[in-house]
Amino acid sequence: MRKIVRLNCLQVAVSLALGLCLQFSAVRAQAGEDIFGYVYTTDMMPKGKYEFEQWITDREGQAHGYFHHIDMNSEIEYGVTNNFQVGLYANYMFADEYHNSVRGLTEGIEIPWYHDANSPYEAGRFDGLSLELMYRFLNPFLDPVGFAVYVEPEVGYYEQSVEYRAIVQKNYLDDMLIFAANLWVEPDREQNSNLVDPLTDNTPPNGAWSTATYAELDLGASYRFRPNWSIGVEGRNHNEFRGYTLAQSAQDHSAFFLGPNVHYATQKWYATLTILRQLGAMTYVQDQADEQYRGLLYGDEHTTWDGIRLKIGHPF
Amino acid sequence: MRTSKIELALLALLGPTVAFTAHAEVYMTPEQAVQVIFPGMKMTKTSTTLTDDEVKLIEKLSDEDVRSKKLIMWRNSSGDVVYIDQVLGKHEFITIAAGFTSDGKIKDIEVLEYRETYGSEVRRPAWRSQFVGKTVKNALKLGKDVKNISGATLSSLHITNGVRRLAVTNEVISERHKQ
Repeated sequence: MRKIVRLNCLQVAVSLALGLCLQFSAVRAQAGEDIFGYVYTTDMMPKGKYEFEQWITDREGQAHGYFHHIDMNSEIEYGVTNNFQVGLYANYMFADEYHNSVRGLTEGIEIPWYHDANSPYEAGRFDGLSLELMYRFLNPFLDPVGFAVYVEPEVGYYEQSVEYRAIVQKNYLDDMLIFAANLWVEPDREQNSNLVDPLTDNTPPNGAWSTATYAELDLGASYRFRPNWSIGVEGRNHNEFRGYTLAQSAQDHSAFFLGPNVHYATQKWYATLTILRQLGAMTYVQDQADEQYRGLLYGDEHTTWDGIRLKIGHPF
Repeated sequence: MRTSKIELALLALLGPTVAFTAHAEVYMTPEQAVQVIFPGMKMTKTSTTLTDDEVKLIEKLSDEDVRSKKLIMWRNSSGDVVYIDQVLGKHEFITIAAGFTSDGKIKDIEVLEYRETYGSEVRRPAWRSQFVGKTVKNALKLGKDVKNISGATLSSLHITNGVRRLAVTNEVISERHKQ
């Protein structure tokens, strides 16, 4: 059964104090201002400026039972020049899952391979560090379109990857209406979860590593409807391939996500909330098809709400 | 009160956000700006409303949208004028003052309110001085006869566009007085 923690006033106060320390300690910073939760823009920090950014991503719900998976990313970014910025992320997660998979067992996203699929899983862990490098070639305020490239290597105990992202941005209506598109590819090496194929595979999970390549197209539109406030919509088309290839013959699935966002920004801080829901998925191999339930793809990667992301940024 | 460890973690991270507050950076009042641009001159506050035809003409000649038909200005008997106007910042409006002599030349511009995270360099005299002496016959475009401030591009762009619109507006209003 789900474990419950009883909070008293002291615990709430300690939690608030810890959060305050985290947000205002030596790691205060934020990225170029993010008006989207998932789609990146070409917005950059000025030379010599720092920002702290905290991401909280709730990936919520799978086929059965309950599934709460929260990824946290704490980041410092620094503007090396007005068109080149670097950042460092700390990645960590919390999970609370039970009987969530298509076959009604506790298995899937980042649950260790050795975990008993008949038991609840509740854990928090540090996932690793990511380095971010971003260079802007075209500025959307000066050029017909904005264009930037982004590289993000991640090193962790459970996963290692490198993300390559191209970012295009076009502004309209005195820069109040912003369209952005990202195309990214990420070769990835990760330790297997405890998920097994619900229909065909009786092989017990093991601690082997698997390789995959993720490719994604992200699109977003945001409109500043009043001072400080923007609303928008963003969507993702996520594709996964077996091994280090983008060959169609190696494709496992293609999944679609769509949802609204709202952004509030002032001189000192900003917050962005995006809520994406999985619309559906196409599968290209049987073991992926077996991980579908009521038209949605779960397996060891996706969720129904994928995801609910809050970003809070603070420049200094 | 019952909650999970995940909710406890969220509370820790989200709770402190209420501690953040924004504050306005108001550098001078419109009256102060008028005196800085035309020191010692007796200027009288007035306002007028642009007609639809004037709005169309201003938008055509300046290539900028007119957000408000109502104009707030300070004038003197010699025909010098200071307009108080707002342009879009990244988060909020930037309030500017643009002063014109009776022959249509820009006397000076001032930034009255600026509440953006970055880009306050637009207040520096060295950048604002680029506008002095220019008229509606100049391009008044960022990257042409007005230099960009790298790292403050949006503010530089919108203030430049706003001043160009006001220069055209001043010509249109001057034509009114000649008729």
